[in-house]
Amino acid sequence: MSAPAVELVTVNVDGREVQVPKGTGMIETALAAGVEIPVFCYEPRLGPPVGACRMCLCEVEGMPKLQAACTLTAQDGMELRSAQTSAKAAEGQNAVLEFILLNHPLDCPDCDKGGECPLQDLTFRWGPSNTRMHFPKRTFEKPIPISPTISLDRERCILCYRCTRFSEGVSEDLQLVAAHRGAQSIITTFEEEPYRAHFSGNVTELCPVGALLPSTYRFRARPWEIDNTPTVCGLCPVGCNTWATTREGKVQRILSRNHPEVDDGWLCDKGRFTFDHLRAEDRLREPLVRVRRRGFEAVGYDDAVREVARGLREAGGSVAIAFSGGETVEQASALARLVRQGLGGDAAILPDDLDPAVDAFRAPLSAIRDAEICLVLGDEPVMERAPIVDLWLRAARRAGAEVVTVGPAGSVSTPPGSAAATSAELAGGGGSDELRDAGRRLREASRVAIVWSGDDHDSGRRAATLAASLGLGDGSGLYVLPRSPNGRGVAQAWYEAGEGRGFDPSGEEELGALIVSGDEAAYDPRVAQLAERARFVFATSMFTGDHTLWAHVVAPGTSYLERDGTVVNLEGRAQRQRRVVDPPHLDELELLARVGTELGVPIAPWAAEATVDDHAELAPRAQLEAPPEFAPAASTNGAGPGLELVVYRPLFSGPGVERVESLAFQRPAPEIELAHADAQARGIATGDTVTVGLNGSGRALRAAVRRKLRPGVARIAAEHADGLGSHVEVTKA
Amino acid sequence: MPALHLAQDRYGWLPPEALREVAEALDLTPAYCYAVASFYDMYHLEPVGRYEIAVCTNVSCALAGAQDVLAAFERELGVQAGGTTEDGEFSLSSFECLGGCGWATVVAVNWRYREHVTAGDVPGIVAELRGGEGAGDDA
Amino acid sequence: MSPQPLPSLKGFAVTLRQIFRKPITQEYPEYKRPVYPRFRGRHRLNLHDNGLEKCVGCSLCAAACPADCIRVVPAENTPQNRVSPGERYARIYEINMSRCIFCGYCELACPFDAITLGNEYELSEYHRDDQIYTKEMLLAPPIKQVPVADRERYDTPEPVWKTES
Repeated sequence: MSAPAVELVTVNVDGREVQVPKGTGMIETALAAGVEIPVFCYEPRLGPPVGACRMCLCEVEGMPKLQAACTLTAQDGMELRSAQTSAKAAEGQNAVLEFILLNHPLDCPDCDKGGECPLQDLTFRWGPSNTRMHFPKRTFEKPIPISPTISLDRERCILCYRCTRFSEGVSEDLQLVAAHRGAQSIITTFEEEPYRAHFSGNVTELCPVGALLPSTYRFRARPWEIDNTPTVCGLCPVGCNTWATTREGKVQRILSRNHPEVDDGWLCDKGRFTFDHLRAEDRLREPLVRVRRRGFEAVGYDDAVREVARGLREAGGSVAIAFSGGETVEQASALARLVRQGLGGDAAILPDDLDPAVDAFRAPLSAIRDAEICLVLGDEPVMERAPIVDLWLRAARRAGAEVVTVGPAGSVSTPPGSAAATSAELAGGGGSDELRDAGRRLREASRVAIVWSGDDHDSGRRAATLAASLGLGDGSGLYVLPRSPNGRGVAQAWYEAGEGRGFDPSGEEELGALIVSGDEAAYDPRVAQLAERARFVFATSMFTGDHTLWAHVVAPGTSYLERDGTVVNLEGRAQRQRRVVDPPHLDELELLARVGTELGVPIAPWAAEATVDDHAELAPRAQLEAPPEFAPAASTNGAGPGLELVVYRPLFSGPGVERVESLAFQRPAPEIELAHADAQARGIATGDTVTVGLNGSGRALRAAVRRKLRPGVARIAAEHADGLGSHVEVTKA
Repeated sequence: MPALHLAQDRYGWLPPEALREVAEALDLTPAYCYAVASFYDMYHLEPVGRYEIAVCTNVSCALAGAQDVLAAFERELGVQAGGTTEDGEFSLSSFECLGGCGWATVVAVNWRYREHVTAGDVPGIVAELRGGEGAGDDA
Repeated sequence: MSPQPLPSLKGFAVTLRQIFRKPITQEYPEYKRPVYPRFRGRHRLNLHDNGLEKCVGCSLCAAACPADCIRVVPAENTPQNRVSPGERYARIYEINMSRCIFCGYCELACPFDAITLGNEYELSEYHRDDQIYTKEMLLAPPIKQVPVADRERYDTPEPVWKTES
């Protein structure tokens, strides 16, 4: 689709002529002319401007009063005079700042924003040097913890409504609101309930004063005492760009680093607050070697390396490896070469195994916002798997796109586990009327975004087939959400290290040795079963605990903030993860290199492959060699008694999050989601305690009735689903 | 907003539970409903008395002596503006313009207007309401 | 004899003259020279009259310090543990005296007059680590009184600022 011809208009800003497209905001127009207009409330990412702070007052030729520049758009022949040339505007701006500062406490030395505060900066540059206010200032109780991670100081609030606009118009959680009106307005949540939303932390970055601040950064550091390292979040497959703030060798906070194609400057609370797990008390600091039957003993690295090399060598080629999917490409490559080249093993548990065919429909995540129609397939809630993708979908909906969700809780209701079958129907133009209709609209649209969020077997190839049959062209994108942060990079590294695709070690025979890389893998029950069959198990883990009890050697692992390497996100974009702080032990890659030396596999020296650019570019699309064929869809779970249980993995889960106390409130409540019809049939309302289970044996959970959920289906977070089968009966307790 | 009015009719005011119910019915969050309800003076977030007396204190009425009227009510009822009498009969509030500038000072009793009220009329109005007559029904 | 006898003799004459002068050597540890009132010596952290610390741990002194010798780690006041009047206080306040150049910028930067430079200049230690003065040391009243009070033992003239005002 060709872009419509842009009409250029000439605007005069402070006597400088500038040509901009018609309709450009005046703030940008002035910037184009080299004039800075100060703002507080203006933020284009939050939707239309509101002109709440009046900081941007300017004189416009032909308008009698001063105008808020942020609410104006460029028109031909407009003459704007900012505070730099217009005494009237300067006076207005000065008065606005004096007015804003009326009730703003002068506690900058106390305030954590001090030094990086827009209000401080703008007052310094444009504001009055003293105040005529000699009455006592307004006071509130402070700070108010509006959630365990955010504290609110109402005295400092200047009511710019950035935070509430974010809550209403970007994350759409509608939990942070401005109550009352006029001078009594306050920012608040409902009834002292915590602000519990996946993106709540962003308001602390949006706040132009010190009113909303992260509690985890409270009185930790000053802007002139910190180092900011650009890195990439390694907690979900989106790979948001972040700044990691360190002081004295410790991570103090994570900020978003706007990559307009990936995250648009937003960051979820998991990425923002999970860094505290680096300082968890149960972190493993030295290698452990099994002594006798049940005990572990801390040993030096020399002994550990020797022991690992011995154990692996004795396995005689019968070696398997379990990846976490959080490793960097370099780490995964080192492990893969160790196993495939050094030991002759060929078995791996890969968290993600996407077919390379999806790369033929590669597009930046920002293409979702520009799509005309979005299709979301799969059982897993997008918000829980790759939260930023959900924000992009919301942005698309606000921009007028149609979002068709197909799944047990979707606008087109399908049974759980049927994404593969549905995709075949969509591609073939079959299925229910709704589905046929959606398929027709998908074919007609020129810009389509398909998001596949499920664990169906071979989802990558199926998704690519669907995309090919719908004729996705330029401007359209296919996004298959991997399960793990760097699952794609890990799989790639594994395949590049040897011939063939390897095999899945799920037989029954005894295994010579097993390498378990990282905590996510160690917590996987499949891996635990495999470990029972292995004569020798070498595990790396960040934390001590029961999850590595079956190992013979446990080496301390690193977090994504302690590594340097490449990660590949769900788009297929290779990004550079930088070491922000040193791990409290030997780096994992260093350890692998030493094991490699023992086994005769050269691993060192290694180099991060991704570019060191500020913003990694997306590689061009791959060529689709031949349109893949549809494999017959795996049969979905058969009918059973009671409700079919859909288990999803919540975003706020995993070994890291579990160790961060301030995120405990974000973890899924012990509740089961029920469809409206099912709940009514059983006389259950939201908030009731229900017994979930089969044949009388069950557990008590809280019920949450969802209108969108398909009848006959119940949904539950993985950590509360332990021991529940694929079908459950739900009764009111 | 009509949903909030319905809830208010049922409870008499808008307790948190009412806001929760409205939110669930409309697929919104309680916080959003609270924000809307707190913006408008005619939604009550605290219990109110049987008679709600609103005295307009906006410009026209203020010029016609609204402050005196309000002070007279405060004296007569023994509560400050914004409060409710202990017996739960009267709630007194000072209000922004009620749209009756031509008949200042306007006093609304349960949203039924009384016009040209002066401080001298106040004891009469209160006695009338105490007597159980007057505007008892919701307008 | 040197090739230039006359200049040499001039030199000896100077020496000879000095021999009969009163020496200006100060017997330092015993006799201490008074300092000017605005002399910049060891830092002091001041307290409010009610015993609370004036310092709120804002780190502005650390920002102003050209030698980067101040380290502040703030923490939050609680009702049980109130150290300063505001919300925050300095949990750790350290000055590395071996780096400090006594420029007094910290004093200028402080918004609460919490840090001032005192008159004490005897800051030698046997170990470098001891040169890091902690908050407790800086809060304490000066242990070594400088200058000494005994006027009779001064062997230096009265400072100008005293005689001429």
